[in-house]
Amino acid sequence: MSRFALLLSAVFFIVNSHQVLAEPENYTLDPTHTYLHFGISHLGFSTMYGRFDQSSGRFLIDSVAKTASVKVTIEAASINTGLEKRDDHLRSPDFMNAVEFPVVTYHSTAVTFKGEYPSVIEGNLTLLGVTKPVTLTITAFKCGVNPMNKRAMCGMDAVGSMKRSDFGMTYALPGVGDELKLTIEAEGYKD
Amino acid sequence: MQEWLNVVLEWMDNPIIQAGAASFLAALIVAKLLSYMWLSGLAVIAAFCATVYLISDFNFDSLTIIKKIILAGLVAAILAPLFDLVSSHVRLMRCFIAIACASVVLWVFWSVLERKDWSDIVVYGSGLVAYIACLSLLLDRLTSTSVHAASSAMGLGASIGVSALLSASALLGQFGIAIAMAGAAYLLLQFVSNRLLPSGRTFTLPLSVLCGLIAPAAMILAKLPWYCLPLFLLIPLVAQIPLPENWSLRWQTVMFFILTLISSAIPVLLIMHESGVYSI
Repeated sequence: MSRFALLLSAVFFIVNSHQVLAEPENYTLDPTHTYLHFGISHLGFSTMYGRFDQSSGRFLIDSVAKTASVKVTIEAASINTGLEKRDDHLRSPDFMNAVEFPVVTYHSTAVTFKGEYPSVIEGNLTLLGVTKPVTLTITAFKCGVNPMNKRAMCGMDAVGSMKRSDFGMTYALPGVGDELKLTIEAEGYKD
Repeated sequence: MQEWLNVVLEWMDNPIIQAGAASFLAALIVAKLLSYMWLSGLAVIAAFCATVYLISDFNFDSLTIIKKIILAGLVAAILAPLFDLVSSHVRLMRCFIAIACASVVLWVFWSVLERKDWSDIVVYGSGLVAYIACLSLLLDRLTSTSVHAASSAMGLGASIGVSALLSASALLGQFGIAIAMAGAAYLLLQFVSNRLLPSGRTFTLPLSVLCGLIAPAAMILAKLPWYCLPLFLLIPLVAQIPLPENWSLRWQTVMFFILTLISSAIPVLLIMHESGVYSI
């Protein structure tokens, strides 16, 4: 009987864990675990890193049909490099122009899967009112149940790059680098 | 040859060259060459364009506030010689220019203003309109006195430029410094030649539009305190002071240079005091 119960619970676990990604599922990004980090050359001497502290968004994933989509909105004024005076300058019209363009958005157009998990996201980034394609490569992806709050969630790490001049952000080129290295950490809870 | 080119390109990336030397040189050349055609006032827009070319561009695909400011400056410079032809009905013309400038400031900043509450739209909108209207009226009174107009340009440009720099926008700061360089070049030419250059609305209209838009941009898009705007108006006001008629042109140039420079320092010192950089 105890063996039967063990087998039943194992089958139940396998079925349940498969169900986590069995159908199209909507996830809402957790802003406390979702950040866009960037790195940019400072006069060619070093790479300066910063991040955007506030973002929101949703993603949909169907690992059976191998489809997914993502929509993210980032608050431009939440840029944070750890130095208030520099952040003020980065918010100014010289760079982010955060008053005139308060949000940066990223909408996926196609997601490529490797096995049952997404591996590459192609999408459009809108920055300073200019929309250009930006591709992100997913370096880690995991779905499951959060052991702390027992809620179903997915998380991922992704990397990409973009040229700020493509979006009309040309101030201080070429001293302050043109290419931005993007690193994204994102987690979302199932709706 | 390649090394020499690299040195020049390196210079062009230097903010001091971009906003200072290049704009000064452009203004000096235009003021001197076009003085025979009564168009030396175009020195203001020449200096501004030189800086825009070096730090930004003339691409108007995405019409941001900064691009609107550049466009408005260019349009003002094109229209100004036509306004110079209207010598009669001076008061009517001044009112027309003030209303036109007020319309331009609302057009430039409407994309940001429309996102605010109605009460804020009224406060900000009326403040911006009052500032640019007063500035254009004050500067239009200096169309026939080029030493006064040039010293106003130098003082306004320097004050707005340094204030914008201290308020976290180097781009707007450089725009302001470029205008200051145009004023300085104009003053220098008059000082050296001991001869008045023609200024007219070709000089004062682009000056009104650019200074009337750059300062509000630094306030709305960066962190320029609002009280700097009325303080900037002190500069063209000081430039209206009548000096003894028997003073030579060189003495007048030196005097207005000093007076406008002192008045231009007031907003700068207040910002520095507030930010803790400098304690009064």
